[in-house]
Amino acid sequence: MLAEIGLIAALFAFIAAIYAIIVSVYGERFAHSEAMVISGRNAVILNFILLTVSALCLQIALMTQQYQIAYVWSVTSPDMPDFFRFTALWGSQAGSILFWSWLMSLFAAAAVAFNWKSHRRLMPYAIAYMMAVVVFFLGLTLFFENPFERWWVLPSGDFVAAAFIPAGATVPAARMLAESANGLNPLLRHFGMAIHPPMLYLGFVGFVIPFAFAMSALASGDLSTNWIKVSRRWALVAWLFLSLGLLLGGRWAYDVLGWGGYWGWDPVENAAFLPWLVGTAYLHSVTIQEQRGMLKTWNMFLVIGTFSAVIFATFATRSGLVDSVHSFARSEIGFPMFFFWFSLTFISVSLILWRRHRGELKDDHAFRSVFSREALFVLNNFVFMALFVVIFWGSFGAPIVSELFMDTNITLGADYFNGVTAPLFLLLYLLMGVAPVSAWGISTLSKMGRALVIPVGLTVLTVGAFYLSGVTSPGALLGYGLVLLAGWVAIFETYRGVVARQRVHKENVLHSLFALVTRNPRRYGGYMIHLGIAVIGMGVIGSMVFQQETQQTLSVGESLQIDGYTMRYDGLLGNQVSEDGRIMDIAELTLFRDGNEISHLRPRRDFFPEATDMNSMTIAGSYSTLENDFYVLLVNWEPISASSATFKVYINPLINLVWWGGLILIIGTLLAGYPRETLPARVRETLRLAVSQGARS
Amino acid sequence: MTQSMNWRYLLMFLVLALSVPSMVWAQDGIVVTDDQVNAIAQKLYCPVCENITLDTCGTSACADWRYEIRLQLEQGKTEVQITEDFVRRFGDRVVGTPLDPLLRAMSLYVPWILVAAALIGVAFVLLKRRPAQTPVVVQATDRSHYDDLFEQDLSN
Repeated sequence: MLAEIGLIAALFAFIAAIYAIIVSVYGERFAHSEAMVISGRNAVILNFILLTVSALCLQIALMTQQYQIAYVWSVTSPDMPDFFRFTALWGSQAGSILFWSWLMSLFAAAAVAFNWKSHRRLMPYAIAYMMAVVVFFLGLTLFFENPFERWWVLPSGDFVAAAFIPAGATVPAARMLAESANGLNPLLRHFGMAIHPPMLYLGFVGFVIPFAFAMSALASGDLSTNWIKVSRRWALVAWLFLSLGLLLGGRWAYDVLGWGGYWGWDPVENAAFLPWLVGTAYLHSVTIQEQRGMLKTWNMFLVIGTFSAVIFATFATRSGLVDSVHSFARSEIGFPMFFFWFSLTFISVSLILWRRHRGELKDDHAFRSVFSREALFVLNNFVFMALFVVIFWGSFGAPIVSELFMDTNITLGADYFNGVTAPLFLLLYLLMGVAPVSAWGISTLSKMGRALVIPVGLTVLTVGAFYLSGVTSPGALLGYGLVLLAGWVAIFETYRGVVARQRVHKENVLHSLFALVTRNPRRYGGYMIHLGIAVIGMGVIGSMVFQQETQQTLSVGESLQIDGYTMRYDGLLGNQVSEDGRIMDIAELTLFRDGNEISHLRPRRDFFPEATDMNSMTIAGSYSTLENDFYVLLVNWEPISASSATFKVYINPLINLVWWGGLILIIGTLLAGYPRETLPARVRETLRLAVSQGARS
Repeated sequence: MTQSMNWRYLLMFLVLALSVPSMVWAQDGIVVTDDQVNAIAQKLYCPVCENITLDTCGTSACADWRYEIRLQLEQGKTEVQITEDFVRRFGDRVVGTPLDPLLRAMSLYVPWILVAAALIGVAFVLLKRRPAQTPVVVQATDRSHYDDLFEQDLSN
């Protein structure tokens, strides 16, 4: 029954989305009928309700173990805990596409609810574009990856998965289906997987709203700053989720993939990083259009490029375009996804060029100084796009070109990516340090220099302290210097604001800081984001440049030493069975530092007997401090006696700054996107007087 | 019977005598640590799995390849020789950056050529947009005007 309800709800949601497209565009463009446009809006809401019903049906089926539904059978098993049953909704292709569609419909409904009155003119086309994307993904659900297909036994005795009962087929025995159920992919049985995919999907899907408004502006001809105003905040929301998704993905890789790192330059990781790069460029560039009326065409390219990169990332992940450890959800949807991505990009770019050709995207101002904020933002955009190019080339371009034209498979690895991205990231940090102190319009080098004296002084002092503490690598010191400059500028600019406010209003520091941030959350949220990125940069440099590792075989009672730590092997607990059926081999270790016992670690190897592929996982044991992580993996052991075991140990300096920096970034983004912007009392008074004088005259 | 026993003792003696030098060679031979193996294995990609380095790959095939690296190190081969051997057998996909000169050049230079072309394009566009003849007054929206006032408020 759940399968029928879910399928019918999805089908009606599909029809509602098509209806919304037709009536919105027809009502606005041809019939000039408000009622039709309103009907389109209501169809968006209905689409969301129907998709909620459909997704709920699948979720309930997963929780109540309806193994006749093929998707439930493929991603759950009777011994799985409820938590993983819940996360199994996005555990494989069909469920994740339905989940994706539901999130998209949620965003569309929210955009309609929040922006209907304020951006009424853009709405009909925005609805059409949002629903077109929903129609595509729902089409995949209904015609390619249907999560409501059920198992049937044909008269011949063969099993078949189909949405509707085949002639003469019967329902298989429930017990037999339960006994043969696959269970969730072991790699996905981690707490992070409850959050990482939804965050990433929210980030991906969220960019549909800025895209739809940009397309709507192009289609309707309303190329004022209206679309920028509405899309910036939605882009910030999507960017927040995407950042969270990337950070959580890094944490998941660190905990589960068992290689001592969090970013492996895997093609699918890179595919998710590409929209982030373009989206970040857009969030900077959009400010120039708001402030100076410049870069109108470029902003269109960026917002459309971001969503195009989202669709490309989805295509790359799900089509098996480039294989990776993440491509566990691939199927036969590659061609439709490629077609959709190509069509979407082609139509969008054609519309931009058409409007530009008509002279409707001309800038209001020209660049007047190479040190102006807008010029530095353009340089910032250029670096983001350069990063996009080199990462895209390494992940997809070079492997595809070499295979197609040179008949050779190649894999560009960490040495390529670290080599080509490091100088660009450092340039980006330099710009993060310099751009906030430059002014709009005209800015001179001497003015900027004066504003930078204190942050540069603080940076030199901090780098000096690093040098004295033993960091002597010139590359690392340069990297730390640029990252620190970005961080100090963010802190100092905030401090300057607080001091100025204190001088004027005679407030205490906390009150001044609070007032300053709440009055201009966008500016100070931005500084906080910069600070977060700087902290992440410190963590990345520390963990990459100064990582240490060793692999040794120890007998029970023996120890190994690394970086002041002593790790003693105490024994192995073999064949421990957990409640979800996994069999665990757990090493017991004691960790000492400077002769003092500081922790007991239990790295383990999990084996999943029922899993069809990827049936084992290496779970690290780790001891974390702000200084470093002691991270140990159980590599191998003497099978029966467990008298000896092999361990791989990593010391990851400053790695926790990556996660702490992520937290600062999230708080900063929440601040920057906070909708309330209260004008100060003096300005409000000026505004009130201006209005009253205007009324009198 | 006695004669055959003598032959057996003689044979055992010969085997032992011949094996002594080899035992001495093994003791004096290169001792290879796991870290030395991993230092090379982490620069090589599994020829079977995708995008997983040999040092972290959990398959038995990769364990065999790691053992091969160990054997080659014990034979005195250098990292370059071992890498070249893997590339010869499995192709350029096993290294993070191809060794083949053409593939290497394509991989490393094409993105920078693209970036340079884009930079020239950006510079061209920026230079083409000459400043207006008359000084341009910064046209800000009402909202940003008051933002500016606020910032002035703070800085005064």
